[in-house]
Amino acid sequence: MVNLVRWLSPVVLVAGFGLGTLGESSPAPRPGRSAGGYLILAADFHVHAFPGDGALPPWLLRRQVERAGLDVYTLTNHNQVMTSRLAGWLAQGSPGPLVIVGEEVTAPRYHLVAVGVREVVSWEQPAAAAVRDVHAQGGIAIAAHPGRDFVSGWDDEAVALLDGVERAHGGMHFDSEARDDYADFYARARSLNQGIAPIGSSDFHTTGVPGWCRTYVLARERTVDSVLEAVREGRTVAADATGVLYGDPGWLALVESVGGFIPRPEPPDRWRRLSIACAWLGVLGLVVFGWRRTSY
Amino acid sequence: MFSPGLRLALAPTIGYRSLAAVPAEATLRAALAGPALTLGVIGTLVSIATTERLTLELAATLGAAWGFAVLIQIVAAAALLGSARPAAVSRRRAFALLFLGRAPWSLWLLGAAASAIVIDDLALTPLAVTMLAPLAWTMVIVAAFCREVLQTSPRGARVRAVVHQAIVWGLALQVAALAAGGWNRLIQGILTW
Repeated sequence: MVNLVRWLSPVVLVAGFGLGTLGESSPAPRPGRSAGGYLILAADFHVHAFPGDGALPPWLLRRQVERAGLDVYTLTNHNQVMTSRLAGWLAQGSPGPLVIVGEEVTAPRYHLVAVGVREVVSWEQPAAAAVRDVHAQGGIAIAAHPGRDFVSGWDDEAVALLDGVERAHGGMHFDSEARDDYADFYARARSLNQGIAPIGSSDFHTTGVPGWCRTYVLARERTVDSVLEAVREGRTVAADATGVLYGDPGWLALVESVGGFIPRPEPPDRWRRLSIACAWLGVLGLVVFGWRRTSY
Repeated sequence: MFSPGLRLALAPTIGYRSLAAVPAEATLRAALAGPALTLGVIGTLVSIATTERLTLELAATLGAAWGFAVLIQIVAAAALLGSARPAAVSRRRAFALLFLGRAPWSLWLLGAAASAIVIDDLALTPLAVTMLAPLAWTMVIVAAFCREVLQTSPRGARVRAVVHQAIVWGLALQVAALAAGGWNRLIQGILTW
C-alpha cells in the first residue's frame, strides 16, 4: 500500500500540473458598463506585490486582477514605488487593466495610499505634508484602512486635504470594530470635505482576491488621468466584499442602474479544483511517504 | 513506512545517528536536491494559496521569486557547517542531511495552502501564530543534527541550533522589514498583534 502511494504521489503531482497548465485560459473579456455619460470602471487602488509584501510578482498580479474583473488597479507597496513602476512599465501598450503607479505611505500613526505618483513620498512627515507631496506629484491621496491603530495621525487639516477614504476594506470583514471605525472616519471626512470619494480596497497581499472590496469609478474615459479626475471629484462608489455599496446616493443609483456590484466573474472550474487537489495530495504523499524506498 | 524526512522529524536523534553511520558520499546532485525540492514545494504551494490555480509557469515563477527563503536556509546552513567540522561525514553530505530536516515546514506549508483554499477570508495572524510549531520542531531537529552529525556536545548543539534559527529568522525579518516599509513598521506590526 505504501509503495503504491510512493509510486502514485509524483504521478498525481504531475497530473495536477498537467490539468492546471492545459486548463489555463485567458480571462474572458467583459462588456464595459456606462451610465449617465460615464464609464463605470471597477478599480482596486490598494494591492501589494512582490518584491514587497505581496506574494505575486507584477505580471502575475495583473492577470489575477484581470480575472477578478477589475479595469484599473494601483500597486501600493509600503514606502516604495519600485515594484509599482515596474508593473506600470510592464503593462505599457498591452491590453488589460490599467496600472496606476502608487505607494502605501506607511507611518506609525497613519497609512496613506498615494495613487498616481512617480517618486517615493516620505513617511517621516505629518499626514498633511504627505498628502501635499502626493498632490504636488499630480496624484490623489486616500486614507488607508482608517481603523483605530492608524487614525491618530489624521488631524482635521490632513483629513480635509484627502481625495478619498477607504470606506470599504478587507479588514472590515474580520473585525466589527474596524467596520465601525471606517464608517466613523468616513463620516468625519465627509463633514470636513463634502466631496470626498468613498473607496473600496482589497489590500491584497497573499491570500484572497484582488478587488474583493472594490471601487466603482465613474470616469469620462478609460485613462489614468480620467480615473484620477473622477476620484478628485468624488465620482466613486465603494463596494465591500458582500456587495454593499457606499457613497453619494446619486452616483450609487447610477451604478445600481447597470447592475450594481458585480462579483468576481470567474465561475468555479472543476478542472482547476481537481488540478489543485491532485497537486496538493501529490506533495503531501511525497512529504509523508517519499518517492522511493529509502532506508537509513 | 514514512519518508526519510518525516522519519527524521519524528525521531531526529535516532534518524541522524543512523544517517551519519552510513558510509555514503553525497554527490553534488544529492546536495542540491534538498534546496531544489524545497523551491518546488514553495512554488507549488504558494501558487495554490495565492491564486487558487496551478500551472508550470506559476509554480516556476513563484518558486524563483520566493527563492530567498531557500537562500536564507543555505546561508544559515553554511554558518552551521562552518562552526564545527563534521567528523563522520563530508561537509557536502552534512549539508544534504541538514536539508532533510525540512519536513515540519513542508507540512506547515501544506496546511497553510489548504487553509487558504478552504477558508475564503483567511486571517493571516492566526496562521502566523501556527508557525511557532515548525519553528520549535526545527530547533529540535537542528540540535539533533549538531549532536549526531557534527558531533558537538549537547550544550554546543543547543547553542548552535539557537544561533542557526537566529540567523534564519534575523535574515527573514530583515527581508520582511524591507517589504513592510522599514523596521519601525515591522516592530509596530508585531507589537499591535
